[in-house]
Amino acid sequence: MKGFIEKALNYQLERRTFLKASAATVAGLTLTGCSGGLQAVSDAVAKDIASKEEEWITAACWHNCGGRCLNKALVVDGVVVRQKTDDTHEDSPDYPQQRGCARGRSQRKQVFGVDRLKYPMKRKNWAPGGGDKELRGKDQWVRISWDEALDIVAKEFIRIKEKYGNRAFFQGGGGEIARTMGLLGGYVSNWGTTSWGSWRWGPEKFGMAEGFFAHSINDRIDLRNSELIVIWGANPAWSAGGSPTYHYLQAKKAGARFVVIDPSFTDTSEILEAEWIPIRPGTDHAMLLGMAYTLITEDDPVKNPLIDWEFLNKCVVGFDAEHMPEGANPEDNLKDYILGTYDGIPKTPEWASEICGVEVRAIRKLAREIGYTKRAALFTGWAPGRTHSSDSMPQMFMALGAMTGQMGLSGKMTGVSCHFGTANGGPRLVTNGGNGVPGIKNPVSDTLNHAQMWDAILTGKYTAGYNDVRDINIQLIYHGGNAVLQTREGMTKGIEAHRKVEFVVSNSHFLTTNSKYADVVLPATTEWEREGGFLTGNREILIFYTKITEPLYEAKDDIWIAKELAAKLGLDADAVDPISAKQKLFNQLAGATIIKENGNGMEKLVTITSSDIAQWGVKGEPQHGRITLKEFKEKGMYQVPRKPKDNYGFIAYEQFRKDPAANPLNTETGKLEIYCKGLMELIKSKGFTEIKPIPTYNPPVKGYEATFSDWEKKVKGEYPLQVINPHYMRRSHSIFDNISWLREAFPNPVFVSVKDAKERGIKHGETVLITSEYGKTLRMAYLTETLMPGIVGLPHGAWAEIDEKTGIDKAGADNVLTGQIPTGQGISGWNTCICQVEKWTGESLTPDHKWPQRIIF
Amino acid sequence: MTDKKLEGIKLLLEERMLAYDILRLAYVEEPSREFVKTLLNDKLMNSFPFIEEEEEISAGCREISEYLTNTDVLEESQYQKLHWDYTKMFIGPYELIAPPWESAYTSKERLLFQETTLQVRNTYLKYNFIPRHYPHEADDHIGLELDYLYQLTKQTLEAGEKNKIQRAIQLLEEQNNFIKEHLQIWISEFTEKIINGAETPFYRGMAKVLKGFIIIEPLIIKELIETLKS
Ligand code: SF4
Repeated sequence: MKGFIEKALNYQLERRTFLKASAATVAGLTLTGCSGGLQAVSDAVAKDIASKEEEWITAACWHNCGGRCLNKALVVDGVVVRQKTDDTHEDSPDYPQQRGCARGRSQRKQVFGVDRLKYPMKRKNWAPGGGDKELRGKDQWVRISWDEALDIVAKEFIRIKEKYGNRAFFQGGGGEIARTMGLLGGYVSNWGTTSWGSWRWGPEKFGMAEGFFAHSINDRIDLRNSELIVIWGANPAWSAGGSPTYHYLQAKKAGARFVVIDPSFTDTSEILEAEWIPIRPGTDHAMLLGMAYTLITEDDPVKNPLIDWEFLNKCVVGFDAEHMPEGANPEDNLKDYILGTYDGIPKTPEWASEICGVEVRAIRKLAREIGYTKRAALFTGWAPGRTHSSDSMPQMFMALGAMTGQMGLSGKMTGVSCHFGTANGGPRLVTNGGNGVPGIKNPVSDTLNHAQMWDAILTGKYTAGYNDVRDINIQLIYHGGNAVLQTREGMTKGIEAHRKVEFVVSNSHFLTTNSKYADVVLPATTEWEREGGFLTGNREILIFYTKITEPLYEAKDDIWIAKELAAKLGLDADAVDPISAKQKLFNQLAGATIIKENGNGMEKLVTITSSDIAQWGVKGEPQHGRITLKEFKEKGMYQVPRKPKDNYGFIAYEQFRKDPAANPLNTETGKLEIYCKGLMELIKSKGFTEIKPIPTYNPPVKGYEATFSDWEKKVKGEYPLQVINPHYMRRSHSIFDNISWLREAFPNPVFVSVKDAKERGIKHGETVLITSEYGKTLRMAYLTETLMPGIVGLPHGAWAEIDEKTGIDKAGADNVLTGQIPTGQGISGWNTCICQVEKWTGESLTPDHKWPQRIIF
Repeated sequence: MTDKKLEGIKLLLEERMLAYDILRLAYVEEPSREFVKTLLNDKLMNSFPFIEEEEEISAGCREISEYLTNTDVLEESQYQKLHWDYTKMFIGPYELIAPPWESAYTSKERLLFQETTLQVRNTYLKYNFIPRHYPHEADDHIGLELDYLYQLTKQTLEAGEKNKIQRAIQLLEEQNNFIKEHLQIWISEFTEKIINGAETPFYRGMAKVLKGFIIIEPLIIKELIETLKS
C-alpha cells in the first residue's frame, strides 16, 4: 500500500482547492456558544483545575426508604471515585454504625446515570392548549433553552388562569413550585394516606400515634426487656434499611420469642426465627376480633388472667357496657359486639378464620400467649392499614394491646413499628433547626384525594366532604416533585387524565412516569448537586451532607425553577426564595438541638464561631454546642451514643398508665378510646364511607371476600387472587428502579405460591400476565412456598412500561392493577387488590437489566 | 526533509482537520440546517478525507451522499426526522440509544463523570482546554474528544508551518495516545449502537465514517511521525 503522504501528494490541484474551500465553509459553521466544544483557558486556570485533590464528602441518601444511613463519596473535582458508608465509630449493638444498603451504595449510579434529564425539553407536537394531547407518553421531544421552557410554562399558566381560573391548576407535588403557584393565586392540591393507610389520621382520635412523627412504642434498648414480640404485617429486613432488623436481633439475643403475622414468610421472619402466621391481606381486623373473643371468653381474673382489667378500668373507654363515655349507647361496646350479643354473630376464632385464613388454633394460641406473657410488644407496620375500608382496624389493634395491658411499662408496648421508627420509639434525641423560610399560603382550598384525583380530573367532580360533591375542571398539571402518576392508585386513569388536560409540566431527574406524559420536562438537580442539608432517620442521628458535584448539564434546583418562573409570571420572585441556599443551611445548623445529658430538654448541638460565620458569609451569632462545625462537617453525622439505663430511653404511655387523670391523652375523653366518636366523625366528614365508633369489621372493597362471586357457596369470581405490594430492595418506592446493577441484583419478579402456579400450569421463571379490573401487567413468575396460596406479591414501584398497542404494562407497575377507590379517611388501599394470573402466550420477558434500550419509534 | 514531503505532511494534516471538523460538528449537537446544507452543497461526503483508503469511510460516505441526494433533508418533516434521530440517540429524554460519552462504555453501567472522564479532563488540561460548560458537562463526550483532536491537529499544522518539528511530533504522539487510550476503547461499541439504532442513513453513515476514520488514524499518524523524524 502506498503511503498516505505519497497519495496526498498525488492528488490533483482540484483536491487541494476543494480542501481549502471546504475547510473554510465548515469552519464557518463552527460550534456556537451554546453548544459544546472546548475552550482555551489560561495556564493558571488549567493548573488550578488539574491540581484538585480528592476528598471524602458526606453525601445525601435522601430517599423515603424507611432507613437512614451515612453515605460518603470520595470526590475529585466533582467526579466520585468511590463511596463508603459509616466508619465514624466502632460498631456495637448499643451504638451501631449507620450502614448503607445496596441502594445507598448505588447512589452515584443514580446521580451520574447517562439517562439523567440534562436539558429542558418539550414534546414535539405540543402547541399552546396541548396540541395533539394523545401523543403524551409517546411523542418525540426537542431540546429547548431554559428561557424558552420557562416562557412556555409561564404563558400556559397565564392562558389557563385567564380561561379557567386558579382552580384549573393541579399541583402534583414539590414544595418549591407550590410557592410560586400560591403567589399566582393558588392551586388545587392533593392529599391521601400514602404509606400509612388507615394509620394516618385515625389513631390520634383514639389515642395512639401514627408511627412516623410520633411513636407509641418504647425505645430499642427497652425492647430487649420484651419476652414476646409480635410483628404484624411488617418486613423491616426489606422495607426499613439501616439498623431496625439489627435492633430486633438484639431483642432476640436477649431472649424474646418472635411471631410474625404476614401473607408471606419474610426475611425478617427468617432472621428472627419467628413463628410465621400466614394471613390474607386486608383481614387482620377479623383475626384481631377472633383473638379478642378468645381473651374475653377464656379470661378468668383468678385462674386464667388474660385480660388486664386494671388497665381497662383505668385507662380505656368503650370496652364494655360499664365503661362507656358519656352520651354513648351502652349497647355500642366492643365486648358485646365481639360476643355477638346484639348482632347475633359471635366473632369467634372460627368466624375469623373463615375470613383471614389463619388456623383457629393459631388465633387462640396467640391470643392466650399475649394475654399471659408479662412483657409483650405488639407491633404493626402500616401495610395492613394500606387496605380499603380499614379505618377501624388500627383501633382494634389498639384494643388488643389495651385488653392485654401491653402498654406503658418496660417491655410492654403496642403500636406502629415501621419506617424510621422501627423497633425504636421515642422523641428525637437530635434534630436540625428550621431554615427560616416563611410559608406561602395557597388561596385555593380544593384538594383532591389520591384515591379519587384522576377520576376527578376526568369526570369534573370530587368529594370535598360529607354530602359535598363539587365541580372541578383541572387543565394544568404541574409535577414539581413526587411521583404521583407512578405511585398513586389507578395509573391507567391517571394517564388518561394526563392526556385530557391542556398542559402538563414536570421537574425530574429522569424521564419518570410523571415526566413521560408531560408536555415540558425540566431537569432538576439531585441532592448531590445542591448546597447541602440535613437528614434525620432513627431518633439517635442527624446527618449533615454537602455538595458533591456541580449541577449536571443544565439541571437546576427546584427552587431556582420556582423562582425564575415567578419572575416570568411577574410575581415577586424573592418571596419565592427569600434566603440564600447557604443561609438556609446555616440556619438549620444553628438551630440544631440535642438532648441534654440528663435527658431533660434540648440544647444547642453545634458550636459556631464568628470566624465560621465570616467564612460562610452568612448572618448569625456565635454559639456554644456539643460539636464544632468543622468536626460535624467532617464526620457528616452526629449520633447520640446509647447504653442501657442511660437517660435517653422511652416508655410510651408511661405517665398515662401511672396516672391517667393527671396525664390525659389528647383524645376527647383523655383515655384510650375503644369507643371513639371522634374517629367516627372524622371518617364521616371525609364523605366517602362511614364506620361505627367501635371497631367493627368492614369487609374491604377488593378484599378477600371480593375474590368470590358467591361468598356463601365459596365460588371464586373472575379475579380470584389477592395482590400485595411488598417494598422491594431494588427501589425506594419508585426511586432507583432504573439502576442496572440493582436491576440485576433484584430482578423484580411477581411472587406466586407454588399451589396457585401449579393450578395454572405456570413454571418458575415463566412470564405471566396479571390482570385486574383496571389493567394488565407482565412479570416473570417467582414460585415460592413462602407465600400463602391465593396471594400474589407484586413488588411496589416499578416504572410503568406500557405497550401503546396492547395497553399491557411489562414492568410490573403495581398501580396498573389498582383503581381509584376512595374509602374512609381517603385511604390508598394498595394491599386490597384482586387479580387473575395466567401464563403469558406472547413473547417472554427478558430480565429487566438486559432490557434493550427503549426504542419508541 | 524535502519540501515535497513537507507539502505532503501539510496536506495530510489538512485532510485530517477537515475530517475532524465535520465529525465534531456531526456529533457535538443536533444537526443544524446550515450544517446539512454545507454537506449537501459542497458534496462534502463524496470527497470526504480518506474515502478511498478505508472501506467503512467510503461505505458511510456513500450512505450519507445517497441520503442527501434522495431525500429533501431541508424539507420540514425530513429535517425533523433527522433532528429527532440525534435527539433520541444522544440527548434524551427516553433512555439513550447510544450514549455519546466514553464513561458510559468503560463503566459498563452507563455512567457519566467517571474516572475516564477525569483522565480525559486531565489530558485536555495539558493543552489548556476545558469543555465550554465545565464542570457541568462530562469531558469525554464524543464531540469534545473529536474537538480535542481537531485542535491538536491544528496545532500540529501550525507547528509544522513554523518548522517546529519536535513540537509537531510531540503533538502527533499525543494524538496517537489519546486515540489509543480513549477513542479506540469505545468507538466500535458506540458506533455499533448508532448503526443499529439510528433511523436515518445520515447517522448510520456518520457512525461508519467515524469508526473507519478512527481505525486508520493511528496508521496515518504513525506515517506522519516517521516522516517527520526522518
Ligand atoms: S436504607 Fe435508605 S438511607 Fe440507608 S443506604 Fe439504603 S437507601 Fe440510603
